[in-house]
Amino acid sequence: MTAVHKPQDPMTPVAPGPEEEASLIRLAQGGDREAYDRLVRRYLSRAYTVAFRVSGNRQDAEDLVQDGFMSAYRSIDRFEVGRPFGPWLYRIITNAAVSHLRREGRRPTESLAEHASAGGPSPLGETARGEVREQFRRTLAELPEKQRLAVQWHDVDGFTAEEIGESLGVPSGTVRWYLHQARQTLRKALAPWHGTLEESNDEH
Amino acid sequence: MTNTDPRDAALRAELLAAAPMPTLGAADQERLARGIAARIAREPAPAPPRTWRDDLIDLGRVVAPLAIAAGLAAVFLLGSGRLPASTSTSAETAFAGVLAGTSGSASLLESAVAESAGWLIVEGEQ
Repeated sequence: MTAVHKPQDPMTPVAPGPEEEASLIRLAQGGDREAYDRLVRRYLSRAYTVAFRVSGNRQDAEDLVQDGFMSAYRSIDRFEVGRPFGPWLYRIITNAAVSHLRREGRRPTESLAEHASAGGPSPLGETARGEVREQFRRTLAELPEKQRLAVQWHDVDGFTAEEIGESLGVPSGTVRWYLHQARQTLRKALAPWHGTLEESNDEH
Repeated sequence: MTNTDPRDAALRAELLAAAPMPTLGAADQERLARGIAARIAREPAPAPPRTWRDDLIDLGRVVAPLAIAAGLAAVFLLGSGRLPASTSTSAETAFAGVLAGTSGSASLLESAVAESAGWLIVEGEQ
């Protein structure tokens, strides 16, 4: 099977080009609320994905997205025009979400349960599927937070290593290391059903 | 990104099954966008982006009072004869320079203070 999995959310508007985005940001910095509204609408879906992955449930994710856009608006005078807006916004949301979770002393395991039945048929056999999924889900939930976020954002949500690096405040090389580590751990969870436990040959 | 390792395909498929990409429906997106717009409407307009002039003005606000105090002290010392008269020219020039550098309307102030300083120096020498 060819493994080119690059999911595309049909609700996600096409990101503006750098020039158009810079223009919107300049207008927003000048107090143009309509320009900021356009930025909000362009990044809303991706921002929600980021917030949901960190927080683990829809209500928290919606609150975090709204608060994130408000924080970004209040700080937009300090935003350097020409840099991509998305990763800056994602970092604001990620930091707020992580703080929120730490205050509540929990991990976002709800998201895995919430979506567990919505994922469609597993590639594994029917008999083993339930058991494998349970083990896989548990392993995923127990990954170090940055590894879990990196592998979900990259392998499921289609973020680039650079975007993830900006969001987590680490270099993209570190993101690739997180991906490597996370995939190795997750493959171990799948290994009994695949009969292989080879070393990863991640090229990312 | 192209990945042809079948193990990665299986891994991604399981990831997708365990935690699919969260989606926000069109109605929810609209509701959230309107909510954010309503909150933004209640916010004061953002401050304009800072420039190097803003930084310079902020620096001036800190430095100017100190410079003026130092200048006045120098003038006082010169006036009271506690500093040699030969200091007067350099002190006066430095003080005027500081004023010119830190005050937006320095020229008038500069002349006034320089004149006063000169007068005090003359008085002190006598």
